[in-house]
Amino acid sequence: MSTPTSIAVRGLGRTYAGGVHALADVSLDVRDGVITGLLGRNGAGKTTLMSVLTGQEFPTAGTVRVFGEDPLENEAVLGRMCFIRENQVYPNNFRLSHVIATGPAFYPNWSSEVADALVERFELPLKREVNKMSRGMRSSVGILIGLASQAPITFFDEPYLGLDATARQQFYDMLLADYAENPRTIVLSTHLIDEVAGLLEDVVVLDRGRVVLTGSAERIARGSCTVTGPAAAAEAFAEGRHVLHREGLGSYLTLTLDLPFDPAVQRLAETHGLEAAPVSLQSLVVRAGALDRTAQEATR
Amino acid sequence: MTALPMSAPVRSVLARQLLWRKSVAVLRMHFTDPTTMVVFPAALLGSIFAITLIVWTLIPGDGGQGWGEMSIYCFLAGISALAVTRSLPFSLGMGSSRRAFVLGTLLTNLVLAVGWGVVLFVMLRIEKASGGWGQHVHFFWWDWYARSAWPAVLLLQITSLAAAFALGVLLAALWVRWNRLALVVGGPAAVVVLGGVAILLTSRHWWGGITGWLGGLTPLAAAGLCAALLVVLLACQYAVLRRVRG
Repeated sequence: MSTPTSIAVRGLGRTYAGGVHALADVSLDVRDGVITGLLGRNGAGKTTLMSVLTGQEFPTAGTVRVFGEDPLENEAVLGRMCFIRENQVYPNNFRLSHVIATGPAFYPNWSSEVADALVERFELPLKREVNKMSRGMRSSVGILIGLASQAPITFFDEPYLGLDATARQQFYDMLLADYAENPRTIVLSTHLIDEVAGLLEDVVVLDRGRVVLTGSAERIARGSCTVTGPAAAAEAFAEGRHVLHREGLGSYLTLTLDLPFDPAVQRLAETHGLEAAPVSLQSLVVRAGALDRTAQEATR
Repeated sequence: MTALPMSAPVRSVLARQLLWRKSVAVLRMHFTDPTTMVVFPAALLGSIFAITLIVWTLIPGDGGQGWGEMSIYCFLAGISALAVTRSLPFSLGMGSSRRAFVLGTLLTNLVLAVGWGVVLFVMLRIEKASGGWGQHVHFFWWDWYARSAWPAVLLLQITSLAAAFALGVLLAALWVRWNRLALVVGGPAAVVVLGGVAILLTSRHWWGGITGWLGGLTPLAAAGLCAALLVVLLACQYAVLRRVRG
């Protein structure tokens, strides 16, 4: 990757009492000024990873470097990051108006214009206590803080929870518009992959605390295809190629191959009596997770 | 890697400035909603005071001691606990370090202790000047205060309020760090330690000496003790919070 990285993680582990490995041997780079999707199922370790990156959680192994430094208790680094959790607790009696009044004290570049625009767009009640808001409203407040903070690295932790399709689209639109005006590093944790695939430049896929896929979203999606047809023909086509995933239905087989989808591949597949198709990022992520689990079980 | 390009001394100065700025941000966060820190305690103190005055007017007597002002101490210890359990996660999410949170909360502690200390002191002076609100009521006054000059009484009120707030912060910090373990282990441990001390004092017949020493304290000496206690509580707070998970 040619773009400089804002976050570099090597061999990161987080083990809880009882030997639960929330993160295991995680290594990744987050490119500067890029929107990166942190993808994975619930419990994959996404929130734990973001907590470690923002110095809120302590790693038990490995190193984290943000802007080249350890973020733990590092004022210069922490002040350049914003991470509102999906289940964020707000101070007692804090209303939305209090959140907006507090923002500039923490973030020198806090944008009141963005905050006001989001209050209007999401029709948020300024006088309501945030801890008593509905799930969707609390998500909107998290989005508001993240966007208005204008922090050089902003983390969004499943920011769509409780939001309807219209509100989610509004978030994606505002995120893109704000990013275009003020490009910065954004890490978006989500499992609604297809919905955000268009926003993401890079992806990091976590499964059970491990990184199973990382790189450019477009390259990953374009780098794979599926072929479907009679099992024998599919197996013959796949010979010598890396099979990412296999799924059988009767005598038919669908193979996900590490092979870029293009017209030539499509024609080649047809000569084998098979149908080739591109793979969505979501299917690929699901299959990468399944593949990793199979590999882990095989090595036990 | 986009490292922060600057020399070590410049970085150190910058880090201190950032720490100060974040601590002030934490202070402002604590005071963003004045209801908890100012309005509730004022309402509580005011209502207890009003009820006391009414009772003493209806059933005239002589004296009493300054138990009324104790409500503020309890209240400050209580709200300081809330300040930690609810505000710490938010501060960390907003890019504050634990150190900045502890420092900002200390600033909050001092502002509240000075503010409420002055309020209690002014009420105390009015109470004395008005002959106990015309009813010989001692809501803010302890006879013991007469042992030192007025400034020492003010100092005692400020330091003792600050210690009460800091104690609340420490208890909440223990809860945030260890949750139920703090209760399950800390509670019985505190009982064992305090019980052990009590047994020791009883077996050595030291109670008389201690109560005599406490009884002989002046408000100025008590203020010194409270200040020392405050320093110990602050050190314990940071020791507990520096490894707390956000």
